[in-house]
Amino acid sequence: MSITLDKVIQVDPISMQIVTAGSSVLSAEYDVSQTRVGRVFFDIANIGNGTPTPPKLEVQVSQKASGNDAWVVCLQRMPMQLQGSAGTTLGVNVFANDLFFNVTNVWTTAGYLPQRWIFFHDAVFVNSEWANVTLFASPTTTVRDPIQFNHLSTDGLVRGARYSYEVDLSSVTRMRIAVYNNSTRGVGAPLDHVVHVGLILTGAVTG
Amino acid sequence: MSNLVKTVQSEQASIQLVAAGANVTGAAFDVSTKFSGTYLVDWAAVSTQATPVATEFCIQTSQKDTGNDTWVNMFTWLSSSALAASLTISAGGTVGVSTITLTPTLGAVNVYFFLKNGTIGNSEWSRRINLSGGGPFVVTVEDPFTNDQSGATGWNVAERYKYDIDFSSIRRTRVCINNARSATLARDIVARVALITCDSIS
Repeated sequence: MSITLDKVIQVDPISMQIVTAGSSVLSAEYDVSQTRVGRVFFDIANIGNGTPTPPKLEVQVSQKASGNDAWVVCLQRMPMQLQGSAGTTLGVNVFANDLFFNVTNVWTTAGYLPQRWIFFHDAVFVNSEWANVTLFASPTTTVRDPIQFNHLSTDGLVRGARYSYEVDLSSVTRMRIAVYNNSTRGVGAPLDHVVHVGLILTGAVTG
Repeated sequence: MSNLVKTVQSEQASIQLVAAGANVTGAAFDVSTKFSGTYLVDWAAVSTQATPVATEFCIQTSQKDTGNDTWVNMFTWLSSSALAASLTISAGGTVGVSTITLTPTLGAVNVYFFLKNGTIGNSEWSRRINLSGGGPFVVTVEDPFTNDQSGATGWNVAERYKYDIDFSSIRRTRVCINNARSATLARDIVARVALITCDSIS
């Protein structure tokens, strides 16, 4: 008898969207009764202005097979505080497949140093994207992977972050994902954020 | 009784010189059927650049099977940013030998050092066990040399890392080496990334 893993990429539980300050978003629930483990991918960016209370990112599970009266948090993360720079624009046109671009108006803050994520907030929202900075050298900055879409000089450029977490689902039957951007905790206050959540669920097959 | 099948994969990044200012982005590696993996990463500075910046390594995964728009770091770390010095070899270092004579000295016991061979693929990392002499210094290494290093150049800042990753919920990975974290203070390095996977349980 052999055991093989069935790793299935789910339709995005939370498609890329703006979660406005004071609001929250819940995914649909997932039947994980045959799932051994899952991996959640959180992408976020602060498109507000100023110091935020970061949104809370959660994976929730339930002790019951139905109903909404028994959801409990099994994973909670508060991402790093991404200083908001709403209104900051690229200042130059950036083109798909570029690895380098020149930006002179925002590249003085620590948020854009190597290893950090940036977010191109495109006027055509679905063309917005995250990119990973590999070299900050004003005015030319390099990102790890070619940019996917053209961006205009008037498009926004803000700080972002990406996280990936494995969740043991071997003893639960239902799960869902939540993003809370509706309360102030510690420093700052909720600001508009862009959020995108992906999910891979893995079951085991014997044969 | 159950059996594990493990595979030493082709190196995710073969041993190579990564010049100051260069980036290496490994090819996507399909782990959609694999259970786990262990990455073994070797790094050495081969430049005397003053006040250097570290090299950034990351092991990434993606929520998609294709494209480069969803890579995310699982592990990321920085190498040493210590100032490196070259070591001149005057004796020893031949195949199967466990001593090598060099100048100047090495640091603490058990540190790694790097022997940059004229044929880069024959270079090797070595670990100092003992040191004697007042210069030149006779270094005893943990394991006999695999290749002839008598004509190599030694470097005194070298590191080795190991990371275990549960692949149960991962479909593909890649390795990135960012040696361009500064336009002026990056330095030439040599790096290699190997991977062993657990492929099946039966």
